[in-house]
Parts: sequence; structure tokens; C-alpha cells
Amino acid sequence: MKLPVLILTLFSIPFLWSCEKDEIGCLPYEGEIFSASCNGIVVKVTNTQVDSFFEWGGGTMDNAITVRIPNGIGFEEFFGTPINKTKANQRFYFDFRELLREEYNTCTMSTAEATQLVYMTNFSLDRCKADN
Amino acid sequence: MKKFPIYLLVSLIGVFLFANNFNNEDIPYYWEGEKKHYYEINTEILLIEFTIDRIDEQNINVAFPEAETYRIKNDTTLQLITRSKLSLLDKLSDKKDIIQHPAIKVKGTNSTSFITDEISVLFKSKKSESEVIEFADKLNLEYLTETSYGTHLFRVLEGGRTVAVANSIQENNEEVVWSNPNFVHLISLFNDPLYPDQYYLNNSGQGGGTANIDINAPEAWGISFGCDEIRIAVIDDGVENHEDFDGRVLAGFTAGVINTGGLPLNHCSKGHGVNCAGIIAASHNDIGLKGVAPNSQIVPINIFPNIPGPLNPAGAATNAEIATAINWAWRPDRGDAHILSNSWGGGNPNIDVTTQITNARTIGRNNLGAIVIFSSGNSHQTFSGVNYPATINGVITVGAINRNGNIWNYSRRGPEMDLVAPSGGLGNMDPFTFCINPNGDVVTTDREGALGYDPGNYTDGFGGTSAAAPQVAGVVALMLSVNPNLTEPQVRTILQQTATDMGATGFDNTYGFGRVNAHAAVQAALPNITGSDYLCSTTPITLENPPPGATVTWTTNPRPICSLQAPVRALQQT
Repeated sequence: MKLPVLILTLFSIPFLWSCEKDEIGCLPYEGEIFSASCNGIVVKVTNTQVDSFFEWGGGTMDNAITVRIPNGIGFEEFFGTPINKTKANQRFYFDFRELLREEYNTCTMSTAEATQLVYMTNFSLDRCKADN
Repeated sequence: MKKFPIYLLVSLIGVFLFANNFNNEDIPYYWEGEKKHYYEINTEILLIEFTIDRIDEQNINVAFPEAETYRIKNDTTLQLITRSKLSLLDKLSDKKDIIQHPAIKVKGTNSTSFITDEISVLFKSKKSESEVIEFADKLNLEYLTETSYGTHLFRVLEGGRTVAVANSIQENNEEVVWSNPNFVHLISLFNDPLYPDQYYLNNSGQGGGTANIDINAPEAWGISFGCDEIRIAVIDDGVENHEDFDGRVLAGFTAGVINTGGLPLNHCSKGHGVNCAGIIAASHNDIGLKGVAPNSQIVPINIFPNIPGPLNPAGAATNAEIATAINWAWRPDRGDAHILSNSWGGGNPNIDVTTQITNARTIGRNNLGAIVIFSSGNSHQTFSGVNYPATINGVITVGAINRNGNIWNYSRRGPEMDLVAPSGGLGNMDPFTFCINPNGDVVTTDREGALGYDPGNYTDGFGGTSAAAPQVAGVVALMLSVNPNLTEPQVRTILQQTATDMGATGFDNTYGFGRVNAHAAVQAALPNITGSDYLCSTTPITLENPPPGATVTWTTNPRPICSLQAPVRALQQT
């Protein structure tokens, strides 16, 4: 009776190990620049679901978040100021935390904002450090 | 067999000519001499005629604010031209002989004319009166008069047949030179070409909207167009002296270290203040659009003095700088603004900003209190409640509905809501240039030339709660123009009590007290007259808080049976 369980457990170990290995030093979100808003760059998340959308007069983009870009994190250094159009399709990897209330910008009220506002805590063009 | 293609070609040409002729015959027309004019019915505007015991010419605009203009046909017949058909007909329900005359628009022109029941006929040879009457009797017409230039006017007795009868006489009667309908023409002193698209001022259903989902601006203009003694601070990203402001933009203030005197920076994202100011105060002239309060003065206050970029897309000033700018706006020795229009928000509540807004409300406008208006905010999907500083007690908070009267998803809401106004969808920023892509549908002024949201000097893409708040600012300017002594709480209360209720009955967190109603608000702002109803009473009649230098016109209905001297002497100004 215990043999199948043992076999199953042994069979699972490599998968569990590899999963853990994949996440070490890896950034959880993949995204691309979609638009901009008063509080940051609107990023479409392309590798997972986030509970956020960007609705403006031209339509709705699901899975989009407003990302506040901190100085020196590497985003501006890569994409440039203003953002270089030739690099705009470059997917990037990042992590974030919620944007705190006191971090909200003062904005005019004619433009759209994604429904989730976040603060970028990590940025890379590669998902995992091992890829470097 | 070879002739077959020729037959086919001739047949096709025949069918084409027949179809073309058939199509033209479907289009209504009338004759102007030998010239045939095709037209279409314009359902947006109507001429309503009725009889009344006595026409009080001095008070037609006040008695019928729904009318854009009027024509006195004779001693007892009044013609009103209106875009608010239903509300006017409702008001006229006790009047006699009501006739609705449709408007026409002649193809290829911008003119509006109304088909009445009269036609004008010029005979080839001189006719005696009896011959003219005989002519009229044969065609079921009533002969009215002969003009000084020799034409004869007739009334068509069969309703709705005016054009058909005029055409029939023109086409079939050898005795006449011409026969054409005697139109009433709408001659407008000012023809702002973008006005027909300003559904938020006067919604006739244009662009798929719902008629009367507007702020009743033309009706309010029957009472006041505002005056240049009312100053409105547009606290935003700056206002330039646009061609449609006629020099009514005063010297202003810019927060921070770059002193542009309230002018916008030269960047493609900096058209927002000009957009807001146009809604408030664009001139009524032959260019651009119509502002809600076209004679008011603009005090430009720039609180977005930085060029946006990936690290600072807002470009806003600091809290202390914003507070300084608000202080500048209302202080009597600085901007001395009566109204502060704010289409911005966000950020954390801040004591500097809050204090200056409260000071404006309480000690601004020579202690009557400046009226402070804020957009409710655009992020309802994310947050509950309205945006700071719209949360500050006493601020008039304005949300946005669409042209069909439905609240926009984005419009923030909560117990601080006061009013809503029609507006469009939201724009977004280009991530490469940080220019604004306007995606709304509100027509307004734009930065002149290439700097604005759209090429040229105007945009039709403004929106958000940004476009709603300035409409209320304009309405307040109209209110203060007829009664500058109103206190800030009185203005707020009038706006709330005169709003057109929307959503749940009474106040609700989504629509507040309802859609701002310019006409009702201005009407309610007029100074109260209290006293006896009897003309010859010895009881004083009091006009409360008349504007300085105001002229009081006194009329009575029915006509007085004793001297007017008594009531005029009894009139007291307080």
C-alpha cells in the first residue's frame, strides 16, 4: 500500500527542487510599457494575472498597472528620458510593492490611471540572476 | 446582337437619371424666385407661437428663460424660439392657440429658418383687393396684407401645408412671379462655430446623447452672461490669453521657482488649464465656443510648473508651493478671486493646502467667502471616497456623467459629493513624449498652435471630472454677477437645492444633489423681493441685497389701476 506513495514522492522531488531553484534570484513579473499616467508608467503585465486594469476614453487594457519608477533602479537608464521608442517593445522583469497613499502625486483630472498603483522595487532585463 | 451593349448602356443611364430624380423628389424643397432650395428639418430647435392677453416685452427673457430669442408677432401673439421644447411646452400648458413651427436647415448653409403658416406672393400684374381675395379663396388662403414693395402675404389655412401650397402656386400659377414661404429667420448676433457640439451646455441629442442632459446654460443666459467684475482663479497648469478669451486673462501666479506669472510651460502636456478656462469663460463671438460665464475674468494659477518625465509624470509643485499659490489666488492684494476652480487632486491630505483652502472659503471675497470648487477625482475603480482636497469641508465637489446622464465608471463618489456635470471619457499620456492623448468629447479651448492637445486652437477631446468642475465654476460666476452679496454657504446651498436630482431620490453618494442647473441656480440667486402683493399698499417692499449700481425695473401685471409712484417710493434697498 505504501509503495505507490513512496514512488510518487520520489518522483516529485526533482520537480519541487527545480521549482525552488527557478525562483531564487528571479523577478516575478514580466511586463512591457503600455502608456503613462500621472502617477507613473502604465505597464502591461505579460506573465501572470494582476487584479488591475487601465480604462481610458480609447478602451480598456486588462492586466495593466501604474508603476512608479524610482530614481536609479535601472529603468530610466535603459529606456532613457524621454523613453526611447526603439526600445519600447523590450520586455522587462520587475517586482513591486503597493504605492503608499503619501506617495500619490497631485494630478490634473482629465487622464486615466490604472486601478492598481505600485512602486517598483526591482528591475532587470533578465528574469533571473542565473540568466546573467 | 451588337446593339445589345448600347441598349444596356442607355437603360442604365435611364435608370440612373430616374433614380437621381426620384431621390431629389424625396428631399423637401422650396422656391426662392426661380431658385430651388433643398432643405431638411432641424429637430434641435423649434418656434412655438401662442396667444397671450398682454405681452410684457421687458420681461419676456425672465418669464421664458427656455427661449433663446423671441418675436412679437402682434399685440397678443408671441413667438418663442427654443431648444428646450418639452420644458417650454410644459410651462405654456395654460396658454391658448399654441402652434409649433418646425425649423429647417437649407443644404449647404448654416442658417436656421422656421416655416410659419404664411406665404409671400408677387403677382405679374397689379391686382385689385377683390381679385387678391378671390385668389386666396380659391386656394384656401387668408389674405393678410400687401407689403410696401408690392408682394401679398397670405395665411395658409390648412395646417402643415405652407411649403406645399407655396410650391404649388409657384409651379402651376401663371399669374405669379414668385411664391415662397414667409420664413422666420434665426439671426444670431454671435455664431460660435463649436457651440452646436457643446452638449454639456445644451444637449439636443447630438452625438447620440440624451436631450436635456445638460446644465441649462442657454436658459441661464436669459438672465445673465456674467460680468467682468467676477474673477475666477483657474488653479491648474496655467492659462494663456487665448484668442477666445478676448484679453480677460489677468496676471497670475506660478508656484515654485519658475515665475511664468500663471502662464503654462511650453510642453505638449500643459493644455489642461486652458481647457478648463474655456469651459468657464470663452467669449460669445464668432469664433470657437461659448463659455458658461463669458464676461468673467480669469486669474491663472499654475501649480504644475515642472516638465513631466518617467520619474515625475505629474510635474506638480510641492504642497507648500501649492498652498502658496492658493493663498495668492484669493488674497485681496493678489489675485482677489471670487471663485477657485480646481480640476486637480490627489496626494496625501496636507495641512498647508487645507488651511489655505479653508481660508479662501471663509475670509476670501471680503469675508463673504470665496467659492472653492473641486473635481471629485477619476479613480473610482481603485478608491472609495472622493479625492483630496475635494474632501475638505465646504468645498463644492463635482463628479462627471456622460451625455446620456449615466455616471462615468471613473467618477469618484462619496458623502462629500455635491454635484455632477456632463463630461467625456479620460485621456492618457504618451509614454514617449508625455503629451496627452485626449479621448473625451468635451469641446473647449486648447493651447494655441502646436502646443495643445490637438492641432489648432481648440480640442474636442477633453473629459474627466476635470471638465465637470469648471462648468460649476461658470455657473457660480453667473450667480455672483446677479447677486455678489451671496455668502459662500448661500451659494453652496443654492447650487445643491436647485440641482436636477439624478440617481436615487434626493442626495446620494454617486450624483450628490444632482446635475448642476445653471438656470435654476441663477434664478434662485436673484435678490429676493419681499413685501405686500397689493400695489397701493403702504407696507414697504424690500429688495434684498441688490448688486451695487443695479437698476431696478418695476412692472406689474395686470396693469396698475393707480399711480406707480407709491410702490417705487416704498422700495427700499438693504
